[in-house]
Amino acid sequence: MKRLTFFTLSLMLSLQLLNAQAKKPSIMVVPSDLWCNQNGYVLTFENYGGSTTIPDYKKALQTNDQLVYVIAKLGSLMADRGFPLNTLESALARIEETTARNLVMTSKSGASIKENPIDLLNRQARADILMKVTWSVKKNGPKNYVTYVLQAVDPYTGKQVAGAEGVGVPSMSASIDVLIEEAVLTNMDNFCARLQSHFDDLFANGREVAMDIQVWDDATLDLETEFGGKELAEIIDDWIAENTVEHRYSKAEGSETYARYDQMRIALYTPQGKPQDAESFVRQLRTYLRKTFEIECKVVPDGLGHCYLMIGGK
Amino acid sequence: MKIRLFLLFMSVAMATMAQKTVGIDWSYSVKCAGVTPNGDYMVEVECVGRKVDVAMDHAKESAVYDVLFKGINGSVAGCTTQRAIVSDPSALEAHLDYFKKFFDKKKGSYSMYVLDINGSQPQITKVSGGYSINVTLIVLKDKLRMLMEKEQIVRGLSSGF
Repeated sequence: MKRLTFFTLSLMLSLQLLNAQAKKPSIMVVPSDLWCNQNGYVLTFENYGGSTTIPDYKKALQTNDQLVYVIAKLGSLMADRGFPLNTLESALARIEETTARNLVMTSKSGASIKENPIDLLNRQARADILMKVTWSVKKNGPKNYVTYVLQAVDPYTGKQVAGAEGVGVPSMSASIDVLIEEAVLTNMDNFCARLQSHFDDLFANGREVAMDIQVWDDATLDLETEFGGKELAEIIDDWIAENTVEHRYSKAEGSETYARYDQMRIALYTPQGKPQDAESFVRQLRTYLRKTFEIECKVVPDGLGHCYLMIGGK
Repeated sequence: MKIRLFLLFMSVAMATMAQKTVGIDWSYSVKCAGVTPNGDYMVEVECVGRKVDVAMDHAKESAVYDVLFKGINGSVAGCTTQRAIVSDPSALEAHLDYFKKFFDKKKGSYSMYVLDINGSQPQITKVSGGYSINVTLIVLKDKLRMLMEKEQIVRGLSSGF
């Protein structure tokens, strides 16, 4: 009886793993920095003697009906293709709600919620792919026309993975809203075709991820510490070469306390058949370092495509 | 004997060629004419046929064929070049039986994906051996793409996730 139960459970698990789907990237439409700057939706603050400007998405969403329309239109076109988007408006509302809730929430004993600075830093409008949209209305004599740019950017690698751009037909009679709608519709198929090529590449060659390796300041070792005649940096390098798809990776930076790996192509599934992202890939590296060299590390996830590995403790 | 062998070779070669196409053997041109308010493609098609209704069928078939396999050139002012829905060049040959049925003159369903524009009259010109027509049509590219995804000829954006 026990054998039969074990066999049935194993079979169910195997079937479940066979049906496992790759982790779906989240996509969000945001106005580009250029559009925010051109239309005055920016916040400027002093930063180490200089001034830094960041987009003010909340103000833009509350006051610009064209932006709301463009985001809604892109969202419905993507939903028609079976890929619903995360909306910027709800992401911003969720952040505010979580922050407010965390401030007032207490346990029965009166304890408040524990948050570290990383939790606060992570609480921002994030997605695995950002669709950055820019448009501007221009005049040619009495006629208006619209220039339009849509870029899909992978925030982990900084690469543009899809894009479409165009200049609309000048018109005297059509309203600005109609011209913007036409620009969105005309460029959507080419944009989706390029995004599809990106996904096809991901399925064929693995997910492209990045990893930053850092050392705690109280650690007794660094990336130049030797184990069996090899520096820790070399050991990590060898492991990455061994475990990336067709050994595709590049080391962008490296010192005794810091290393950055990017363009790492990782398989979409772990050896056990589970969907894999940057975090689960780096966890395997952590396990290897702990089991083989007794090095304690901490994995700090940062979305589907980026992760930190902190050397020398939890 | 040599002539017989030559004729046999030619007939085999022609039969093989015919098997690799969906039967579009007339000359035509498809140009971009804009997009509809819901994003479908408007195209201007010029082609010929023995009769006006045959030429009209040819125009519709050509429009659907180009949207599927060739894409629409955006060289006309105000138009954007649109990629083909079926981007894999080997897909036509790989799914030839399906596409032969799809473009079948009598039972093919291609005509469900192309519409006349209300009130638009085709320009008809008598030419030697038939008629040449110039007509603006709407190709329902979203429905066409969904059909290709359903038939697993192209992948959808969410396939595999």
